[in-house]
Amino acid sequence: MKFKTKITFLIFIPFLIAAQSSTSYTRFGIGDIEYTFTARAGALGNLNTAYNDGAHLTILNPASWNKITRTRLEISSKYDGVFLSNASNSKYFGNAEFGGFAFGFPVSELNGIGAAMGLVPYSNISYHVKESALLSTNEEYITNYEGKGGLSKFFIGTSYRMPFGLSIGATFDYYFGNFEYLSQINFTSSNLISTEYKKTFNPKGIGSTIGLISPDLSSLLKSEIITDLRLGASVSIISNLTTDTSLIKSSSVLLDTIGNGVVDMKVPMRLNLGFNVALSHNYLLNMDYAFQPWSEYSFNGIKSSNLRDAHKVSAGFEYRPSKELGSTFWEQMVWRAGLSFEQTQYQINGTGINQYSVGGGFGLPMGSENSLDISIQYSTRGTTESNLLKEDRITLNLGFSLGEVWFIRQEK
Amino acid sequence: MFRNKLLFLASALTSLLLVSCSDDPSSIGADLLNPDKVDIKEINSFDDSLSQFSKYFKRTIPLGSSSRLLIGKTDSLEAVSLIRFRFVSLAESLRTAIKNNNLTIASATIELTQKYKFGSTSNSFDFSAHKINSNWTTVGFTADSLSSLNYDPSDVSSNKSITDTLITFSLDNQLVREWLLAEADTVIPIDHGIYLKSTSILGIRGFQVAASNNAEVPILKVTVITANSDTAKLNFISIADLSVVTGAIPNLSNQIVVQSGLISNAKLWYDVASLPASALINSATLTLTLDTLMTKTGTSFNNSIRLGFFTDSTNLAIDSARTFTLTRDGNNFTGNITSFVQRWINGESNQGMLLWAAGQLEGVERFVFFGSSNSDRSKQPKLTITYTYKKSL
Repeated sequence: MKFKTKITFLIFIPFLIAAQSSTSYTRFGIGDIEYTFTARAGALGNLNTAYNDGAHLTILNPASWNKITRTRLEISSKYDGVFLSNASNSKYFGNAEFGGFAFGFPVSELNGIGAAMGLVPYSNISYHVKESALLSTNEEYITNYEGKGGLSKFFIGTSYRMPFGLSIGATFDYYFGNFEYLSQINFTSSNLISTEYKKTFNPKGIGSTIGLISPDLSSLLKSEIITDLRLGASVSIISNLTTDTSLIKSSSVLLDTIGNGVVDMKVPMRLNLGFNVALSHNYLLNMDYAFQPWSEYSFNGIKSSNLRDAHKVSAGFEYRPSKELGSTFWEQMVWRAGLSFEQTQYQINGTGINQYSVGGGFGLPMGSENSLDISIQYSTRGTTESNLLKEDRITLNLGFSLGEVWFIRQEK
Repeated sequence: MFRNKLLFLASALTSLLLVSCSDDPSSIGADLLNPDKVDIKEINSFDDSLSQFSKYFKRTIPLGSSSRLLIGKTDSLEAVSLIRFRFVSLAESLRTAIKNNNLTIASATIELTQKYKFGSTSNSFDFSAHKINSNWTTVGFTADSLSSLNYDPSDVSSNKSITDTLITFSLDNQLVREWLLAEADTVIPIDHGIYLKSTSILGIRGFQVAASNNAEVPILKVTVITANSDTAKLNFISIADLSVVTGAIPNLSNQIVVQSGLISNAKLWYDVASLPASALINSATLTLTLDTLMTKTGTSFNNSIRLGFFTDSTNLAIDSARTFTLTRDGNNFTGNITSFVQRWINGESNQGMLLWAAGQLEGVERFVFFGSSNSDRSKQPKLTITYTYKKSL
């Protein structure tokens, strides 16, 4: 088996071993937001809107595809380990999942025209809670609450670099998802039959992401150290998502739909701002900001009192000893570190849930255009006060970035 | 190459190890799941005053498909039986002989295997047998049909031998000759069998009439002598048989009478409208309390009550695909009716339940239960429901 094949297999392992983490915060809104999916971005604070290098595909800003010089495939998977605590107890839950993929290729390097498409998660719902109690007859019953699913995004788009160096890009996005919320009661006694309520939402709709990246502004600073400086911005707009809903109750003697219908889900736009600065060609520094007004989220016209506007700031640092051909393995290794602060969209019982993250990672070269990227990130959010949850999370991200030359015109 | 393989293996093993480290789901985070909260509630008709109603009524149901023949009398019941034997196995030579008057009936004996006693359990028992002159079938023949049955008043039985397990008696040879002739020559008036009825109030007896290998079913044993003085012993089993039970069902205002033979069924209804429409029934248990003073049973019977979901109580129509059984535990009959209650909650018309004795065709048991209007509420039929409900939809 070729090494690339092995890596691809490794990335798909989560499909085989996926467990479920238990994060009841994801019950609100559309769950946790997935800003990016690559291991590289995970090590740099999860944003990187002004990234302008063809070595990787990013999904936050389609303008970045202007630098693609090879046909590229980005694919990733991740493992989340969460230490979940309340005021009296603490548990550990693990969850492995496929991170997503993006595929892009250059159309015109001269004009910065690149095209890309991909399938990535936009949000994630994952919790599993169990409670046990006794009936008056002393028979035990277990109540299961389980949430799973999320919103996904399929995108296809392109970029264009204007003559004065400003790059723009846009995507057409198709959003679709499946949210399942289960409430089950199971008995240890066979005299009582188990029961289940299942609420299902299937949102779908379109959207668009428009982005731009400035020309290299380093010349304005007249510094020999700063070799590249760019600003970037992108905005993602989502139409109201048409959502099929159903509430089904079932037991061994019944399967009945209590209610169903089609409602609108309003997911607010997201704004990403950032700048990238390259120092002496070997160092890359990025700082980013993302904003999404979740207070405007509504489902069937009803806003959620448990959601507020989300803000995220992050910073990342990347070091690559050498980009020269013929460098050693270690010289081509890329080292990354990042941190972020996020005012998440969750505001439960009046208490806002904030998240702090720090992480790092590296990219292992596999030829001139390929890399295996690994990142590890620690984040903490929430509190054990006011019946809330504190989460300490370790995220391992494994990504494969493959670049090859395709579509070469043969000389006659 | 070795480094790549090592990296691959280490990564795969690490992934598996990390995922397998997960704790089992716990209650952590349950407080945040109010939108999905479910709870369980337990109610019963005694403590929570669910309205209920019961009544019983006589039904006229043919007993032709019963596995027993009933003969006898008590102070309030009388059971009679009709039997016709099958002669199709009669050999062609004997058919010719009987038509040519060359066959003599030397003897004819009927054997009935006793399986059931109700009332007196002594072996004292007497009955008479009569030739039936009118047509009857096992389908649709009921107590109402009995008045139109034509039979000879003369007793065609003799030499009765009655034991705990077997009753044998001789049958008039001339009558048997008529039956054989009717089988051999279709011009002759057809055979309508015999009518058996008790001649004393010595209880009711039950006799086997249906068995997978025809063992112990009523049998007519005939000895014939041909013109050549040859003797042949012939056995004929019954081709049609049924019982009819007549009498009166006691008129009890605060009880439920469910009776076999002289069939009495009951209706029981509960008002479950107070349960939320979205409820899911985990368990619904019905308990009936037996009035042991009024209940009368025989020696071998099905000690359970069947329940049916009324789809049309006016015409006594039930959903025959889904019935339940109440089984006896001491003086209580208890059973699970979860799906009935779930159907009522789900909007199906609540017309109550039909109650009948599980062996209502097989004997004359009388089960008397305390009814919905009984002054002692603790003895009224009790419905206990455990249900799940969602706090918010």
